[in-house]
Amino acid sequence: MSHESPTKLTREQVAALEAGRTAVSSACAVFLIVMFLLLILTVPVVQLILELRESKSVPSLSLFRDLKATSREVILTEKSGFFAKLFQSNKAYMQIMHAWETKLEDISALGQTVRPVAQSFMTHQLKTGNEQVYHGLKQWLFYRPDVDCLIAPSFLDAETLKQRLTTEPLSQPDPRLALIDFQQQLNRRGIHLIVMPVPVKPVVHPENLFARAYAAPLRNPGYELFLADLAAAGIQVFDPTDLLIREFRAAGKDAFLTADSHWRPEAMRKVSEALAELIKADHLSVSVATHSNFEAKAAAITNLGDIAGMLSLPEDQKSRWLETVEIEPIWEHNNFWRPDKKAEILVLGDSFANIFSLAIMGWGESAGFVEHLSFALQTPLDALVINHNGAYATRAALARALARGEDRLAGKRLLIYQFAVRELAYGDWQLIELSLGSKEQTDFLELTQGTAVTVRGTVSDIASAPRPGSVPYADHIISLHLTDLDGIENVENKQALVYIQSMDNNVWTEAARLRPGETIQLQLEPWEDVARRLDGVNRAELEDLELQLQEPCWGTKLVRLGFTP
Amino acid sequence: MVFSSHLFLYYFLPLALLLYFLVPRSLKHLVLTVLSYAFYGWTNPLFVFLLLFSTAIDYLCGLSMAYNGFNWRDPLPDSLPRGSRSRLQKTMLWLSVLTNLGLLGFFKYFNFAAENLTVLSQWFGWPGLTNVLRVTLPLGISFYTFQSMSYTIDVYRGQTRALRNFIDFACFVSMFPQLVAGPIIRFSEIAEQLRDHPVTLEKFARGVAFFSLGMAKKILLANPCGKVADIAFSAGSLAVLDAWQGIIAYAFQIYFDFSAYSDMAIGLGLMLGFVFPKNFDSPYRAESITDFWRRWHISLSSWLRDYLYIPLGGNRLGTARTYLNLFLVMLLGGLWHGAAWVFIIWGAIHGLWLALERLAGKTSFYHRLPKFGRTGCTFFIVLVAWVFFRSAGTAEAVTYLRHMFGAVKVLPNSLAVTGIIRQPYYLGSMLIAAVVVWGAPQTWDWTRKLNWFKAVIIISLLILSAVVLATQAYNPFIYFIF
Repeated sequence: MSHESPTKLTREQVAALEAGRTAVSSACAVFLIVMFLLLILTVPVVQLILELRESKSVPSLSLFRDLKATSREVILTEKSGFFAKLFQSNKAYMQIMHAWETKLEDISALGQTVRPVAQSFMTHQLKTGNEQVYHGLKQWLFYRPDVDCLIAPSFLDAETLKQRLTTEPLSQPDPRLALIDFQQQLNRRGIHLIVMPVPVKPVVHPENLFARAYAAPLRNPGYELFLADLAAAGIQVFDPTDLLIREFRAAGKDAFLTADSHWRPEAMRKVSEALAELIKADHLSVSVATHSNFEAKAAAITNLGDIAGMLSLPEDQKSRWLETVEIEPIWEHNNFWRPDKKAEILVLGDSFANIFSLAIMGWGESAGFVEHLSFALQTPLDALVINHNGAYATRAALARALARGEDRLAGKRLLIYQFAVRELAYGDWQLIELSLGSKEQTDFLELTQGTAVTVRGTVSDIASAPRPGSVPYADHIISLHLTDLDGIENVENKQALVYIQSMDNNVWTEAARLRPGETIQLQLEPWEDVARRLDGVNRAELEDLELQLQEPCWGTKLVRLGFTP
Repeated sequence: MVFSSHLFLYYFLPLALLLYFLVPRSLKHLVLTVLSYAFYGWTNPLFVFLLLFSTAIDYLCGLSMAYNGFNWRDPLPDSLPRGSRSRLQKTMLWLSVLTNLGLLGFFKYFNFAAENLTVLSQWFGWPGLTNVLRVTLPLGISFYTFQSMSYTIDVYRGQTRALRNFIDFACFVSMFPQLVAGPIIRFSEIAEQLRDHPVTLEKFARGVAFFSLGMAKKILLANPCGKVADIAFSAGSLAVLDAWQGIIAYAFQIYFDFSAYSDMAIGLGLMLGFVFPKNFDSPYRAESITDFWRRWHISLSSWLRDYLYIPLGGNRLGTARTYLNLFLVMLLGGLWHGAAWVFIIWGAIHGLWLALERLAGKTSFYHRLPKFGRTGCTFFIVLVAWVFFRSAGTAEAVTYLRHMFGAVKVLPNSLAVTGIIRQPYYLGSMLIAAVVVWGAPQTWDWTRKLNWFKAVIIISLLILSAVVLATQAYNPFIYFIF
């Protein structure tokens, strides 16, 4: 094809000449077009057929139903003016459309089929992870935020703190202020505080992230200042990093699991023993060795690490990442060890305390950090352990219990506050008031232990669930506020604070898709009945502090009944 | 809505093509406009009204100028003759320009102005503008206001005939392939095509080729390079080599990201029968900064030349004024990209080099070097300027530059950065990107002749991109925020 020199022509003439005239045979053009159309049309058509075969409702066509329901809800329930309604509807539409787009990707048959295969290729051939995972050496996997928090600028840098305040929904990003305030409140009740930042995997094992040998622990530049400021404030810090490096890494042993973000049981036991020694040596006014009925029995357990789970590999390839470890569950009179609310020591912890303890994590139970600390001290312990958000979740749970009139600090002499060091850079360090309240009569549903009722009600408010695969845990619970209860005697006009499972083994449940205004049917039972099993599962609370103080129920057997005007 | 998303690729695009080709010719522009508004409203439905408002103002101003009044029932006059304009025509031009710049100024620069006023007032010890309104930036406002404004200016200048049909005009402004991230299509470039834009087999096939190659560039090259850049720019400490790898990765990312979007836009346009001009011409092969701006984001640089540089006097008002004009245009070009000092500095660096090269007789200071050296020196200057473009603030940019030139003590935690960005996957992606940047033919040239071999490569790349896309949760286009 010949034409005039493009330099003498205008841009549109060049475009028309070049892009408008293509040397291609009809057969080749048809091939390109057919293949292209086949690709973009097959995916939605197959999706639609699969959805129609599976159920009567078609999730990928639910958008318009949801938009219509939301419009009706806003118009009927909002008493504000036209513009307020307009902005509120717009905000709701944006949320619905975004959620629908996410749902489309999640339920896509193409995605579900292709994602594990593609991820397998990326992991095994290209040795790379995904948005949540860094692929290290020798099959080691690293949770991305664990690495990112170490390579980031100092978490105490004024600019970093300022930036976090503007970009994250935070009221306070500086861990020093929160910990000093926490210590002062505890001191007023005669309780000693030990802060225990647990190193994340790349702190101890940077050699498995990159080839170059590296002796010192990998630290965020702000960590030294953090320790110095806490020491200046008189806060005792127990940092097990050096111990783990000395006892494990230097000895050529692994302190962390290969495909999980947590420590190995033997590392955890070593740390619990060291902490017990510290408590004993420092004579922290706690009664130790009061109990001698604890017994440790070894058991082997095999599981898939949480980081390997985030890779979404094909089922048959997950076995490559399975790890077997030897745990030592702690028994007391032939029963699993249980926390004792009357104990003098309270441990606040995150998933580093929950692993090997919370059965739902898949690494066995009754063999975690708190159990082994109790075993090493030979004394009962009280524990408040929540899987994620260690900077905030456990302190907030303690504050809620106190505000409800449940004095979890009564008789305590020592509080051990354990959290992962990544929380220093990413955690929500708002100051939390620990004041003891009293139990008030409310119209919130309170069930007696051992009972279960089925009720209908309207979702008035609901916490949001994380997207599966985007967080280092496979299960999640959300809180919802249920109003206009109906269904059994004496519940009319009552309301309930409900905890309900929103993510089960990395899959959203129906509860995760609930929205305010929906009418639902649920079976409710007292949270106390399931708390031992589920209290450690990561949970999203409602923003309303008053609601957080109510006695929660555990909801199951959800039935969605739609929106009612 | 992002082109390289599940929603666009498998739902919006098939539906759009189906509707577009099913409706009779008389309804095609209406259908395309409705689809484009749906595409635009997906991010924020309320901003659709903003787009409609901007479109309506320019349409009415264009008609008023063409008729030199409001007697719109008369036959539409030809394009305005050369010569002076009436007060009404001048008023309408100003109304259009001020409305568009007003919208752009308010939505894009209000927060920036408020922040700077706060800093300034606090400097003088006065209370800052706390609790002031926070304005949300509408997607693509910089692109469609420029595009829409060019219409009224062209009508005023007599370079094009006004449009009587509002749907045709709305279709021109909102056309979804290029609405949110360009290329900036001028009315004069597409006026003929609005009357007739037949879709042929060869056009559609080439559109498929453009779209597929664009998607491959975005998914397979821009995204992995972007990850390297993200890691480097979020690190607190960096070794010298890592800092260079980070900025080169960003240079590749922004080029492949933006040129991929342009390719996809051109491809979609071809599928709908429209031919959009070239927006990139292998910019990193440029041998001077002047040459770079002939190759990078051509639709913006030519817009700035025709609607800003020339009205400012161009090179007609003496040497000093020419340099000043070049500098000013690039400064404003920087500001066009975003309301932040880093963009202004980025523009200033380019403006300064353009002026210096003009001073040296439209050549670079390194024009005596061999071609490789000239290209390398130009790329070096471009890289230094990209540091400002990518950084969150001027302090971060200066720190990053200090890392690049070894003027900062490297902390031990920088080793982790090295470990991650030297992974074979990232190095391999960057190597392929470099080969494509400096060794491969452009999409425009490579697709001029399509044969079976190329067709198989194109479809394979499309399928591979679709597969990799399924594993990526988040891949926005950089230019969406401008």
